[in-house]
Amino acid sequence: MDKQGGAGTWIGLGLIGVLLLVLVPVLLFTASQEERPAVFTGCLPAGGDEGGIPAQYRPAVEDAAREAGLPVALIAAQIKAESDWNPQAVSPAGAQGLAQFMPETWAAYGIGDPFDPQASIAAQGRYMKELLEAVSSLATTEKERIDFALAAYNAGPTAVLNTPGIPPIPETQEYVQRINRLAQLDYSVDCVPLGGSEIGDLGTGEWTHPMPGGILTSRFGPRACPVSLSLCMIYPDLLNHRGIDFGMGGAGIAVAPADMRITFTQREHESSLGAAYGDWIRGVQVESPHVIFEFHHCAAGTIAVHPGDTVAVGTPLCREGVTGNSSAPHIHFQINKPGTALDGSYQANHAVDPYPLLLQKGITP
Amino acid sequence: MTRRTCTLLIVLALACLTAVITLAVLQPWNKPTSSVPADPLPTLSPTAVQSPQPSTPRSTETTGPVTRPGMSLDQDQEHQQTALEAARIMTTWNPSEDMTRTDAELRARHLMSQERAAAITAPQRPASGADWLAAAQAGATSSPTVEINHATEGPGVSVIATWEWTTPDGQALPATEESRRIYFFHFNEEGQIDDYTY
Repeated sequence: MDKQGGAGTWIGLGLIGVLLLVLVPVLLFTASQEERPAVFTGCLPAGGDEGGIPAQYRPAVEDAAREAGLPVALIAAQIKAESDWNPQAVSPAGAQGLAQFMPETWAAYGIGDPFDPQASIAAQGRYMKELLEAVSSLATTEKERIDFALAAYNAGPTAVLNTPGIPPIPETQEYVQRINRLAQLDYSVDCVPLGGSEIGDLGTGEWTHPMPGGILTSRFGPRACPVSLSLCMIYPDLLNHRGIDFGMGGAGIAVAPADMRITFTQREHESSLGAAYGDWIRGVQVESPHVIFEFHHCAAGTIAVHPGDTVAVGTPLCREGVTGNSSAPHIHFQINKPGTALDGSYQANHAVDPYPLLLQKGITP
Repeated sequence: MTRRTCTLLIVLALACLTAVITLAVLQPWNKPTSSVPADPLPTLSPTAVQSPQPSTPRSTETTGPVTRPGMSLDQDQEHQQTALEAARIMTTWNPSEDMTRTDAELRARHLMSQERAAAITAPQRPASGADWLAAAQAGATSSPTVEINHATEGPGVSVIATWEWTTPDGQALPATEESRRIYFFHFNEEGQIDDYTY
């Protein structure tokens, strides 16, 4: 190698070295970014790459939903729950195909081969239509119409008519909740729950988890009767948990889930309601539709806000605790309908399930 | 070793060093989300909002579970043991033999009052779902883990049950669905379950 060639080689090697020094971190950073879990937005867009209805079945599902008079997301969620979109699925009980028809049900609603996915989806539409017609007279809202149809699918229409409503069969109640969640998470348009949002549009402002890092320890809805069954018959509200609970072993901090104005705070000993709720907070969403948030069982003396304060989304409100009717640290998070009282009065009868509302705003509780 | 080889080695070593440093710096991205809440955001109004600080504990304030009001420690523990056993039985399924998931609840009837046991009704639809079908095909059964769920309201006992599907030779099947239930049990004076939900 002559002297000139040697210098060229050195320059070349130097450049490669510099390039490596610059490119390696950039490539690694990019790779690292790709490995990071995508920010979970609560629900996936219908028909997206990671969720939604498989493209080859979409027209059939849409036709079946039209036939049944039910949302597309409901039919899709049912099939997902039945067979996970496997047209060859067979259950040990003898249910067959994509929609898992039992032979006797297939004889009544199916046309052709139960393992033919298109035929299976079409039969699902016909079956759901008949179930819906059998129970829809009980429903007073679109949500009830959907829930009763799902309950009839799981427990049978007679059980729904006899109850009347969703029968007190825990497996059926769980099925209704599961299909609602699945439909909203994987098959909804714009994350709207089945039957539409109970509140409607929740505004354009950002929302956050009401207790970041908190584990969901109780859902909204049916609970075992906490007193005598006769008393629960007289006061059906006792049979329902009016919010959702989050726990973090005492370390959880309740935060404003949206920009909100604090309207009421109370210590456990200050009223009979406080005896149940413990140290608690009520506030109203600043923007429309002005839903009302409640946080119960704050640790004693940790409420950091006062009536009249306006706080931004994410602002700490209190630490989870055991005040009131609570056996270990947690926060009971409740959402009341807009227009309900902002003072310290009992408003649990106006509570709505926060779970689908949080999903609607891209938060998975 | 030639001079050129030496240079190549040095350059490669430098690149490796850079990669290691970069990975170390980027490591926090891959860590799970911290359970510590983010710093409070500024308020919309001039109102000063302080982060909640742990106060001096009051007599009943605790970070652990407490005995339920109006109940002796023994009675509370007895209820908890019954609730754990019931939840364990209720989430132990054999999809090859069970028609519905409620079949497992029928197996827990001995822990219930006569009225509640008699009221158990199985849904009309047989059980299904990807995990259930896969477990049936593999001859797998569910293996539950149960723990008392203290972080909720009384007066009943709550249990969180999770499970995995295990084949006869001990292999766990991959789960594709939620494998978690939160149970709520209520007891009569005899310590029997007189109602439950999940």
